[in-house]
This record gives sequence, C-alpha cells and structure tokens, in this order.
Amino acid sequence: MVYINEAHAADGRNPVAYAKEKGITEHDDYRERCTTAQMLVDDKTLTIPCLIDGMDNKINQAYSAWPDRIFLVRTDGKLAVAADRGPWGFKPGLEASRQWLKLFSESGTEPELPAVKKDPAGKGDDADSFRPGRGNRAPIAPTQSEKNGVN
Amino acid sequence: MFQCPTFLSVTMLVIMICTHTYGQGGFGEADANRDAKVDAIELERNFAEKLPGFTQFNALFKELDADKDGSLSEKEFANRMEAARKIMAGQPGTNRQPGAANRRNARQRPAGLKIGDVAPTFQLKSLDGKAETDLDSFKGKKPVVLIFGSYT
Repeated sequence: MVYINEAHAADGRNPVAYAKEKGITEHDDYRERCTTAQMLVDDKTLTIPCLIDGMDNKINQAYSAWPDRIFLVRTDGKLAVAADRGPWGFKPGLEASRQWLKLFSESGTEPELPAVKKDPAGKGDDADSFRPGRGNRAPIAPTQSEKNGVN
Repeated sequence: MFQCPTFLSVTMLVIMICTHTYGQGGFGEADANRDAKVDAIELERNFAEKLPGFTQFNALFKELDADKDGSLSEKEFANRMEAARKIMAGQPGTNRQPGAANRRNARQRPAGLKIGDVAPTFQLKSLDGKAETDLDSFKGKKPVVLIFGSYT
C-alpha cells in the first residue's frame, strides 16, 4: 500500500463524518501522514506493507493516483493492471489483479500484455475517466463520407 | 523637599526598563494590540517586515503554537526565526506547503498511465521509517500490486 493525501479529510473540500470523529485532517507534515497511516493499519489490521508518500506528493502525481488507485507491476517493470482512479475503478482493478495473479500462479509465467490498440474515440488520457459526466462520452461516430473512405 | 533631577532620572530609568523588557526579542513589537499574545495576523504582519518573501505563515504558526491555544505566548514567539528557517529549508517534520496548496498539488494529473507503460520507479520509506523500499528491487523477481489510498 502507498499511503497518499487524504480523500475526504475533515478540513478538506468534501469531508466525511468519521474523518471529523477520528480527527483526520489534511496532512500538515510527514509525521501527521505517518500517524494517520498507522491509524489505518491498526483499525483495519492491514497485513500488507505500507509505504508513505512524501509531502511533495511526487509518487502520487507520477501515478495520477489520488484519491485511490490500483496498479499491478510485472517483473519487467511494465504495468499489467492500471485501474481507473477513484471508487469506480477500484473494484474492477482489484478483480483484474486477482485474475492476473491467478493465471500467473497457475501457469508460472506472466500473462502477455494486450496488443496496443488504436484509440478510435481519441479519448487518450484516462486520468479523468472516473469523474461523472467526463470521459464517459460515447465515441464520435464516423461520418458517412469517412465510412466510404473519402477523406 | 522634592528633588526634581532625581525624580526625573528614576522615572526615566523605570520607563527604559519597561520598554526594554517588553520590547525584547520583538514580541512587544509584534503584539500590536498589547494583549500579551501574538495571533496569526500579528505574526504575519511582523514577519512581512522582518522576512519579506516568507509565505508559509499557517505552517509557521502551527509549528510555534505548542499548546494549540490559537495564540503565541512570548516563549512560543521566541522560536520563530529558527522555525521559519526550518520551514524554508523543508526539513523533515515541517510542512513546505500550506494545506490548500498541498491538496492541489496532490490532485494534479499528468499524462495517465496505461497497461503496458513502464511503472514510474520510486523509493519510499515504510511506516516505521526504518526500511526504504525501491520498486526496482522487485524487477525480475516478483510482480507488485500497488494500492494507492488513504484512510478517508
């Protein structure tokens, strides 16, 4: 786990009730981030290793990870799973990782990466795809002349 | 009989002692409303003169206000220059950016990562601060699942 900036801190833009009860505010310094991470590890009895992102939020930005995101890194350093950000992408990402790991443990070899597909809708960056109302538009249908092969 | 020169010199001495003590270390100077406490606004005003270009007043005030009563006593105020230097140097345990800028910074979205992209490498400390984990150390050995998130 990589612990990053809070998603719903009590003094943030979109606080949740339990953040106020637990006193979870935007991290002012590294110590506070570590304390809140420790609270998570204790309350949810996490057994996986927990790393703490620095206050420069560099790794968070590099992975475009806020508020939460799942990745699976293969042994060659490439991404096998890169879920959408936020709650919408989390469960699918978890499921995709489970399936990948199952295939890996059964066959002993890492599943191949899918071939790079052309992007017809030109959506490109998926970083904003979890936001409601953005990035989920239907692809632009080709016009009749394009279908006929006329440019 | 009342002796004028002695009375005057004693009075002047008393006034000098009072102003010297109260004005010592700049606390008196900063405490504009003379309530024996320096609040955030007074700190900012005082610092704007002494250290122009310093902007991290929220972080400085939080750092100085040890008893968290919302104002600085003379004792708390005394550490201001050292605390300001620490903040500017960005030493671990001090915040380089006030809360709002830190939030914006955390939500910046560079080009999104896709399947097949090389995972950005990093070295991050574990929770106990003892071990540092390098993502590259797993290369050729084990696949890694990264779960980014927070308590809330």
